[in-house]
This record gives sequence, structure tokens and C-alpha cells, in this order.
Amino acid sequence: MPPAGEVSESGDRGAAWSRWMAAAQGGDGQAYARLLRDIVPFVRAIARRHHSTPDRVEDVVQDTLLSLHRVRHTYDPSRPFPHWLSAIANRRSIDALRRRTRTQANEIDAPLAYETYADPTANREAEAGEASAEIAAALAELSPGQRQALELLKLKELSLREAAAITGQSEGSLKVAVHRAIKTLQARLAETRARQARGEGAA
Amino acid sequence: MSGTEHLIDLLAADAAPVRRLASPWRRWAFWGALLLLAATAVLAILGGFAGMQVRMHDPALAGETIGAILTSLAALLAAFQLSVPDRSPRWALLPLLPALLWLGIGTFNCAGAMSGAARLQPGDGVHCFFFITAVSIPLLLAVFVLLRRGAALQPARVAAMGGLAAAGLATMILHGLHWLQGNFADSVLHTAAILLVVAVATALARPGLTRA
Repeated sequence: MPPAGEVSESGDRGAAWSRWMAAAQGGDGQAYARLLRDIVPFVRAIARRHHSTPDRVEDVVQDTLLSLHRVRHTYDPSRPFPHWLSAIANRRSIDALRRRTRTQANEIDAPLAYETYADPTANREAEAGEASAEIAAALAELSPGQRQALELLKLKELSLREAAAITGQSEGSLKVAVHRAIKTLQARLAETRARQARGEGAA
Repeated sequence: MSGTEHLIDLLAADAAPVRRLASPWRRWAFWGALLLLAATAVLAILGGFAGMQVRMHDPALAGETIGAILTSLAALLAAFQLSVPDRSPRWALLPLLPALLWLGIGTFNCAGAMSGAARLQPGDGVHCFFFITAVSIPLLLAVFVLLRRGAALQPARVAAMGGLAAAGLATMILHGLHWLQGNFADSVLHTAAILLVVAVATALARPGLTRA
């Protein structure tokens, strides 16, 4: 149950969300889109309690929307929608915090020891090895669902239909998961490059 | 277009109608009655009605069996409630009182059954241990199938409640077939079997249940 005072949306707005969600459960895509756009600031406010950077906040928002989509059949329109949404958003936010804590606990902040060779081609091999390690580390940070979607669709090059049959997810969910995975990888690799550049600049 | 906006478009395009989950109370009333009926049918098939009648005539033994049934039903209700995102996590406390009653009366009964060195002998307790764990398996599978439609914020908690529900019903069946009161070592083995079932259920939470 979310802490007291957290579910603070006005009765009118909460009632509107409840109506749109009920319509969305019936397959009304327009009501669903309207609901999802309207709840984003609410979910962002919950995410900001645990995360300070805009990227992480947005990750939590998107994770929450994905969870909401997956479990929308569990919402009871006779009960307050903000309460249901808060519970999911809080859980996603805490999960992201735990993932970040685990990742940071396993990382060692040490400068990379570059060994350079007279022959430039030998250096390229070393750099390729480092890039491979960066990508592997970034992949390890993806959620299991994102990693699986990426592996099936991009690495094993299965079709959406084949991947949907394997995972039991809809083709739409898989597209979303791949989209999120690529964004996360891009952000992680950019972060790593920026850290390396700062380290090299300081050296 | 931002990533979130793009995601919203994808989700809205994927908004197929869904079959709304029935309320936890309704699901519990229907499936709880069905599970109890199934356990009673198994008891009848195994010829345990006569033993259960003997047990029900002894207040202490009857109390233990009723405690097991109440714990099972309370745990099942807690599991159904906790498998919906907006329900209070305090539902996990619901089976606590009947469980204390069940195990407390059971331990008290066993402690008084035999005296001296006989208390330390396992007696039939080893067979009871295996019976409870074996009979709990199909019950636990059935409970997991029922819970999968929900979406637990904390699957481990839901799974633990499911395990307790299964173990309670398995013990009820055992009581009909083994109405004689065991000794203290038997009581320890019964409790160990119940804890094992709950632990296994908890370990199966991630693959077995749907996570919100």
C-alpha cells in the first residue's frame, strides 16, 4: 500500500482515469492513449522520490507503463485508479533502485590500464576487446524481458511472430521491449564513454 | 517524439480487450470451496472418513484439524488478495492466528501423548512428513494455476501463502488417515514438512506466478 498522502490526485481526475481505464480494458485505444498521457506526470512524481536523474526517472515511467499494460486486466473499476497505479509505480521505482545498487556494488572504479603497441593494428584489437566488454556490461544491465526481446529479434533474427510464440508476449510488447533495450544500451554506452573521456582528460 | 510518447503510441495500438480479473473474494469463495471439496473427495477415496469422525469426537484433535483447515482457507484468501497490485500487504498476516492455533494445539497434543524416552522417537512422523510434502505437490500446482491470472507485486509473498494453503489441506487429509495422536518428534516432523512446502512454493514464485 502506498504511504499516506501519496495518492493525492483529485477525486475528479481519479474518477476520469478510472473511466478511461475501464474503457481501455474494453479495447478503446483512444481512451487508453489519453489515460497513459495523463498519468505520466503522476508517475514521474513517484519516480522522483527515489531517482534524481531525468534518464532514470523516465526509465521508471516507461517501466511502469509497460507493467500497467501487462496487468491492466487486474484493475477493478469500482476501486480508486490512483491507488492501483501508485502501487505499481512504487514497485517499479524500488526495483530500479535495487538494480542500480546491485550494479554499483559489482562495479570497481579503477582506471583502465591501456597497453599500447607500436603497431596500430594491435591497438585496435585491444580496443575491440574493451568495446566488447562494454557492450556485455551494458547488456547485463537490461531487464530480463528487454534482454530476451533483443536477443530473439536482433541477435537470433527471429520474426516478431516467432518471438511472440516463444515468449508468450504480444508483438506490440516485444517491439516496445526492443525499443527500450536499445535506448538503455545507448545511454549506458554514452555514459561509459563520457567516464572514460574524463579519466583520460585527467591523466 | 520522446521515448515515452513513442511507447504510449505502441501501447495504445496494442490495446486489445482484456477479460477483467474477478474480485479476490469471489475467486476465493469459488476456488476455496472447490479445493476443500477436492481434498474431501481424496479423503473419501483413501478411506479417511471414519478416521476423521474419530478425530472430530476429541476436542483437542478436532481443534488441530479445524486449525489446519482455517489456516489453509485464510492463506488462500491472502494469496488471492496479494495477487492484485492495489491490495494491502497486511493480508499476509491473515493466516497467522489460525496457523498459531493449528501448530500450537498440535504441539500441545503431541507433547502430552507419550512420556519419557518415547517422545524422542520419530514414530510415524517420517511417513507423515513424506505424506504432507507429496500430497501438497498437486495442491500447490493447482493453487499456482489459480493465482497466475493475478499479478503480484511481491510474488514470493503470494507463493508462500499458496504453499501454506496447500500444506494445510494436505494435513487435513493426513488427519483423516492417521487420526492417532503422535509424539513430540512427530509434531516437529509435521511442522518441518509444512515449512518445506512453503519454502519450495516461495522458491517457485518467479517462474510460477505473474509479476506486476
